[in-house]
Amino acid sequence: MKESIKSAFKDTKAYYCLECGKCTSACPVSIYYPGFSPRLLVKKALLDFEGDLLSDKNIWDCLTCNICNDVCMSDVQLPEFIRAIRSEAQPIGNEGCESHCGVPHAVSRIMTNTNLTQNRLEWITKDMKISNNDGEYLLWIGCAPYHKTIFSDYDKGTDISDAALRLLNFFGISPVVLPNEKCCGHDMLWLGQRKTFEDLREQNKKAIEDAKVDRIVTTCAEGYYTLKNDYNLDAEVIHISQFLADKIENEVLKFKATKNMKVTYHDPCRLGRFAGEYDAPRKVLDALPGVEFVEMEKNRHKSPCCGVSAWINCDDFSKKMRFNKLMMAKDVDAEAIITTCPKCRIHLRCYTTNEHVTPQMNMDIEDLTLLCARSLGLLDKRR
Amino acid sequence: MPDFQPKILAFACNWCSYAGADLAGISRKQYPPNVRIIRVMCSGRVEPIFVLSAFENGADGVLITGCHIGDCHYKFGNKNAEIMVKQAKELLSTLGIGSERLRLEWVSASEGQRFSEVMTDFTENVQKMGPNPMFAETAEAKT
Repeated sequence: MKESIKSAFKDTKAYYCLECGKCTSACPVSIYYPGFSPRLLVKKALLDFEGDLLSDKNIWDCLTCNICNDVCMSDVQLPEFIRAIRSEAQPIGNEGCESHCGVPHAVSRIMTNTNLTQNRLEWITKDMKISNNDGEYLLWIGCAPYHKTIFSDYDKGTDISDAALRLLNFFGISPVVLPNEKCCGHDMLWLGQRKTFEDLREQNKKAIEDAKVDRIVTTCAEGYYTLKNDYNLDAEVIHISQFLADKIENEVLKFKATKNMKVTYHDPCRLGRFAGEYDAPRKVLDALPGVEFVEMEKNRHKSPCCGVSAWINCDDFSKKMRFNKLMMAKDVDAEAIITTCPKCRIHLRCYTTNEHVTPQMNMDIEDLTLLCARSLGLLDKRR
Repeated sequence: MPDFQPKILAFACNWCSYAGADLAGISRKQYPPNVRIIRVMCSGRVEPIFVLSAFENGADGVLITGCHIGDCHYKFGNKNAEIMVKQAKELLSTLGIGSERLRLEWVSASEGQRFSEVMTDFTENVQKMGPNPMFAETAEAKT
């Protein structure tokens, strides 16, 4: 067995696997695709079927949603284990099927080049206040400017960043926005492309340290988890929902009821199961007037994934997962699904705007940041 | 940098532009040897990732050529190419590579003269722009 796989075993506690099969029964992929079994993958590795495991296409079907770790009695960190296997499988030619023709991946790879100066802040208008050098807060934009182009059919991308910046301005904060911020590298890390991730991390870390900020606010669940967990930054990383929940607790905010609607909340895996933040977004939703908040049947740590992670293997199974999610929201008569992850919004919107979907499936997918900014009257009515 | 010889990748559609390139050859029209042509069945086949990969691998300019609007062999393939190029240009400009390094041109099978003109003009333009910013340092070191 290769040294790197051995150490992955140790780090992820895969040696403790009891082969109880709880992970497979909980796995959202296994429900629709019985050929995929997290238990079997660990067993294959334990029995030293190394070649077999490394050429196994199933390792790319894993959503790394962490629901397996949540039910595991031995606390085997299966997503991290899959990640380690992926980075070994890639050099021998076992690669996942990249969705959107691999454009998001190419964008991340190109960003590792230090010669390029991006033009990513065109969405900032003159009435928004940002500070260029040191300030207390830094607003992490993430891939929003690219999502705006790649998913222009159904997702504006930067509308979340716009709302977040207006919210911070509303609380009297002019955050630092990095003009040449790179991709946080989340997708590259979970695809097993460690080298690309480390290049991106190094450049980002330097930029963040030069900005001398105390707090980094992210609008994205994946960015939040990556910056917090894999970057070792001195600055405190907070998700915008935590920031808002904190403000709601300590200040009296004059929210305006925009329109009465019944909403439900989709827990993104990176913010929920990975970072353990379930309460902050719910606190914000409860505080919004005119918003009636209902829980879906499977919520919090049981919330199923939106169906795709790291832009790979978007297939029929992933569509079924999204259908299931939407039906779950329909069952509680919700008019909109609110989420805190831009990628979950893209994936679910992709499904709802799909022409094959009947009008009965009509469901708004919206981001919490936008909902909040609208409630405070920070956005024009058109948006 | 007058000595700079750009690497240009051209996608030519099978039905019009590739035939146009053929005609340019048969009629002995001259155009710079910097252009590498890839034949695709339709300009609509070209995806943003083709363009990004070209730049990632060292191209200094990318040219996409297809049938004139209304002449597409597949009815609306070139309309798709227009949408695609708009998206790719946006990505290139956000990334900082520059949207002007990508160009979309319509060349029909009878326009051998135009094919050579387009190639010459684009090569000169890219020459003025200088090397792909991703490889700026290595290109300078070579010359």
